[in-house]
Amino acid sequence: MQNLRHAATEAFNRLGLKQRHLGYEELDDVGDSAFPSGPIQPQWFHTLQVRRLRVQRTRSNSDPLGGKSFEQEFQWRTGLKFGTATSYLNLEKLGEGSYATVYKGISRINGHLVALKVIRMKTEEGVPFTAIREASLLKGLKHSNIVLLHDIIHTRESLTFVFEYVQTDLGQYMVQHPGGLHSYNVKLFLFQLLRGLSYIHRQRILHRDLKPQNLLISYLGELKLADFGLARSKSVPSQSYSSEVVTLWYRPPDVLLGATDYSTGLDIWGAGCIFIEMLQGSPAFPGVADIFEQLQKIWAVLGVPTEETWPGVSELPNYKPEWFLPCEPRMFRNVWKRLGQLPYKAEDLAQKLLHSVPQDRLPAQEALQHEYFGSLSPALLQLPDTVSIFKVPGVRLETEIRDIFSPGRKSRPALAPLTKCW
Amino acid sequence: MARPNLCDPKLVLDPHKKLEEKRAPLKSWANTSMGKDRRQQVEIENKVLSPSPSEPGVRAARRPDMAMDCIEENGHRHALSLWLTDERGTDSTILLQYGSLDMAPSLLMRDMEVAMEKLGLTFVKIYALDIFCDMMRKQSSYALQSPELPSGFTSCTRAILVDWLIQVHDAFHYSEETLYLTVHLLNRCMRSCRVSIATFQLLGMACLFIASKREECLLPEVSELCFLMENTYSKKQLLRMERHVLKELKYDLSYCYPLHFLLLSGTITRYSAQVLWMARYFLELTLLEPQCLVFQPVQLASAALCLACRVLQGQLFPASERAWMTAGSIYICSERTAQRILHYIARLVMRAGASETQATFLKFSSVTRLQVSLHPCLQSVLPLLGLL
Repeated sequence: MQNLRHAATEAFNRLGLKQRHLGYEELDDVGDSAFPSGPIQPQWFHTLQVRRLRVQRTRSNSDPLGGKSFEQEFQWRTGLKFGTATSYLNLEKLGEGSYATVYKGISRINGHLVALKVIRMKTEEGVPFTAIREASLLKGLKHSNIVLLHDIIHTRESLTFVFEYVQTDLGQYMVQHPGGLHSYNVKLFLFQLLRGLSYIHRQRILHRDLKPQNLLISYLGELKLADFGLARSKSVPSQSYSSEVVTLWYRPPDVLLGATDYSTGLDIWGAGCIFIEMLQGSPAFPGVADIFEQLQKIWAVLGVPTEETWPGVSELPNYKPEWFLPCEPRMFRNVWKRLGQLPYKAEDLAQKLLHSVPQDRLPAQEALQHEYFGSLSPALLQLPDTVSIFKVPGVRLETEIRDIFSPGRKSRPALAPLTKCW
Repeated sequence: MARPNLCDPKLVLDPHKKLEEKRAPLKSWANTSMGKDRRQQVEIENKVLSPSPSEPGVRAARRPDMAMDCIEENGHRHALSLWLTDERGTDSTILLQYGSLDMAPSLLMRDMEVAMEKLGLTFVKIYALDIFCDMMRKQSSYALQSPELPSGFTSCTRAILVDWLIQVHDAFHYSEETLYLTVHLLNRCMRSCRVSIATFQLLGMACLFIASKREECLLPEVSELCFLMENTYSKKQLLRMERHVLKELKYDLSYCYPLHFLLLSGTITRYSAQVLWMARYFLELTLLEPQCLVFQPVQLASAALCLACRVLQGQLFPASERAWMTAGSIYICSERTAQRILHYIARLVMRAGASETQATFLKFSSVTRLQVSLHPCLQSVLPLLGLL
């Protein structure tokens, strides 16, 4: 270690490029003193409302805009740039997570609503690695079912991700429409979820934290995967991930049993749980206490696995068959009644997604071609990545039962006026 | 999705090649490593155009994709024709020919899938070819336009810093990806930010810090990093530099590791461990040379493997020989580009033991790395390339 310390310094010295011991003030050119710190001042809100565009120009019929481009003229406010805190205005707090706070905001550049995820900086470690991973992954993801990262604002105290604003999330949507969703809407949501998963899996990325709260729903019904803080891309030496990921309810049995070499099956299991939850209106495996209770809930449906049904299961660290009550596999339709009311295809898909052996779970790409989605327009499978499925004629969200009986909300079935957090 | 890289044939094949430069057929390379990635590209494109019968699901998935999305289809076709252009340039006929040749490419396809899975580059097999295609598409954008360094910097200055980063990286026992990402970030920073000699070491360390946050499970402590820089800089300065670098790079930390291409090729061709370690040694040496920045990761990887193979007279296993049979007329870069890379590598090898920058040399002289840097054949690398 000591050699390592001297190595570079000596080499630089010999080259005559002796390093100086720098004071703080000398490094100001690498800092970002241009950015004002502290909270955004409230009076901006007033200027925002009264501000009007005044452009001095002479009128000309041949060139009505006076040589200026349309975009230039109709900019919300000139001189504002992306990447600076002054370009956005906080409106209200939407939620608070373990390492970030989410605000609803408005962009002063173009007037769009945005979601501002403000990440607290740890003074000891610099930028949190979760933020670095989330930002660098989202930078490379351009898909209509992935939340769009507009901008990143970096100041000394905080790091803010500017996302597109999406009205609600699946968790809230299900709270507003209890007792299960309209079966057609379930199909559309699941299709979009699998479409998003198929895209990120093809990019070698696992989401690792699927739950209804992380699936944003726009007023049209567009579903978007959000919160990639736990996501990571796969590199050559398959590093084992910590098994402390994924909310317990949506955690697959292999991870609960202590497997660390997990793969796309992790996200697929979560998708299957969310499928059931959308139909039933209640979580598929609502474990309360701990991992073993969670496993028991799963075994109550799938049966306790043995070496025959799942080769290699006995080698997993937490596999202790004597701890579990003996359970036989049950028909999904007997456990979740709503599946029995739907054509057989729905149960078949659920069974293929919720398979206890991770390798046997249906990959997202193949699940999209499952018969369950056969009633949807075949054009949906051929959309380019960035085009929403609601661009296909005839695809639209059905009115949920609850909205039919409360006509005041009928006009905007999916739009929740409430706040959301993720 | 727009694929500008594939629309311009020159860009894909060799961004620095002049138009009139003749693309020599790679007959002489057929038994070496230069062809494999192109061949893999063919497999993918073949799969798209005429999927193997064993995968009806995949076929159903892709065919409509191709039919509907015009840009997509043209991109694929274009890419395919590029990989298959022979010296006469009659790509369309060959395209059809390959499109109907199901047998050989499907074997290669399977090799490819197995290799991707073995290396952990894909989660499940069905995504392997998509992921590889994506790697190939993106990788050409990671070559820089020119090998210039900021004023005041010489290749020697840069080499000293990179050499030191290799030592630090090795001391932390980080994965190879972290090292390649670090140097890549450093290169981009030197291109886009104002750098001074006084903060050069700090910049390098910040790049390593960021790369480790992206790639590693165990993070280094800031104070530890400062200690390694002999406390020339304070913790606060390092964190400020980290923020500065992230901002300058706009949080875009993506990279296609040349090492991945090397390992992929090595796995498919079933070269011996010694050849692979030798190639990894060469590849790591290219980090020291600014002239190598202009080459695409896949070109560097192929050249490194090719040279290792020549130096050690590596033999292919019979099973992989049939793989090369179909790869004969495909290109990764022109022969001239390949020669240029080989010459750079050869010079780096001759200088590797020099006292200023010998970290890689020492690293690869360890027993775990089969002592490849001490191999006697390396002394004759220049005559081998006809440089003496």
